[in-house]
Amino acid sequence: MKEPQSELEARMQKISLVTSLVGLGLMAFGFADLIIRGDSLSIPGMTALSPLLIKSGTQMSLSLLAMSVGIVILALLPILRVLLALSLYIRNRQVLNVVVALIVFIELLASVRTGG
Amino acid sequence: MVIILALLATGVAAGILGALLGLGGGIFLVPALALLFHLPIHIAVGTSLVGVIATSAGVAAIAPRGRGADVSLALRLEVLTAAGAIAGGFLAGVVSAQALSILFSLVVFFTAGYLLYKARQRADARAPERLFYSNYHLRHWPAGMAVSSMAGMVSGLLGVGGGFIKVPVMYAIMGAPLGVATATSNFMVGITAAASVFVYYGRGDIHPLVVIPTALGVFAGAMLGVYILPRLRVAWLRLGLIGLLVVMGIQMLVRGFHS
Repeated sequence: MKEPQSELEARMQKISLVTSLVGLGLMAFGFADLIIRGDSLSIPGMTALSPLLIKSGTQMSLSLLAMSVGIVILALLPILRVLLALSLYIRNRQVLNVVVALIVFIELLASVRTGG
Repeated sequence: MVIILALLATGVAAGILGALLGLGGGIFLVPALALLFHLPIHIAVGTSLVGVIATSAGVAAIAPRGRGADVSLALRLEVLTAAGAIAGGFLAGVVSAQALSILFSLVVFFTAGYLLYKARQRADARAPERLFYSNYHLRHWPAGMAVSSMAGMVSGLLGVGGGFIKVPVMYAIMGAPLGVATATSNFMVGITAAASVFVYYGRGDIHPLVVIPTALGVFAGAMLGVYILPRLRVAWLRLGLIGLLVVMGIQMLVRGFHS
């Protein structure tokens, strides 16, 4: 039932720190760019770019792009953590845990696809 | 600019409280964004979901070693919880703002009751309880999974992590140690929030000008919460928070009936 947690815990910690810093860094960069350009800061303001629009490479403001990508990266972090657990379970051949992690991963991918 | 700084400060406060009390922080963020910043509840919920992910990430990034989540338990419960969260995210699109406000106020009252129960339980305890140990046996899986899936639904509908449901389920029903239940709940709230945040994203309820200062504040607050936890009398904080939740719950209820 309980797997040796230390390796998983250490990797989760690392991936949480790096991914959230990248996501938050991009958000902060885009936000700072917005302030420097003197754009309106009234809330709620514009909506985040849809992932499809981001992928399409359509010309858009750098600040909105950076902010939207940052939000998507942060939102993807829990999915990365599930993927990490899945890869470790596969390596350790813990069949039941692999199946469970795979189901959760597919559910999360389905929600991303729906939102995108 | 003042409003952006106010959002940042709100995020910091929610992050600290979330980390200190083992919750995602959404239970404070949604009413704060709706009542203080007059944001539509769907935007407040979408923002809160990103905030919950930031709390989960902030705590996970600096939590002391050996005090992590039981990932296997978390993922088993998440099979139904994530499905509930996705369903809740869709349901939120068709439920009126008034109904969401009323439902949220009920959840806020329930959370206040849970915190009060926890405070009384700790006060009654004669011997200090071990928060972390490894040789525990989990039981009542069907009940745990059923209640956990409801927590997912509530999370997707209302933008809360659902830690106030998940921790008691794992601790009181399934028999996990309290520390393990709290850490596992923290891991789970991020996944549950991620399951519904993209539904809100796709619907256009994620606004960077609101989300970014809040998320930055929440992340910093969560890390600060983990740092100050050993130096704080959480009992007093918890009591203050119960009072705050009751006031916010009443306001949300009034707003639900009068808007």
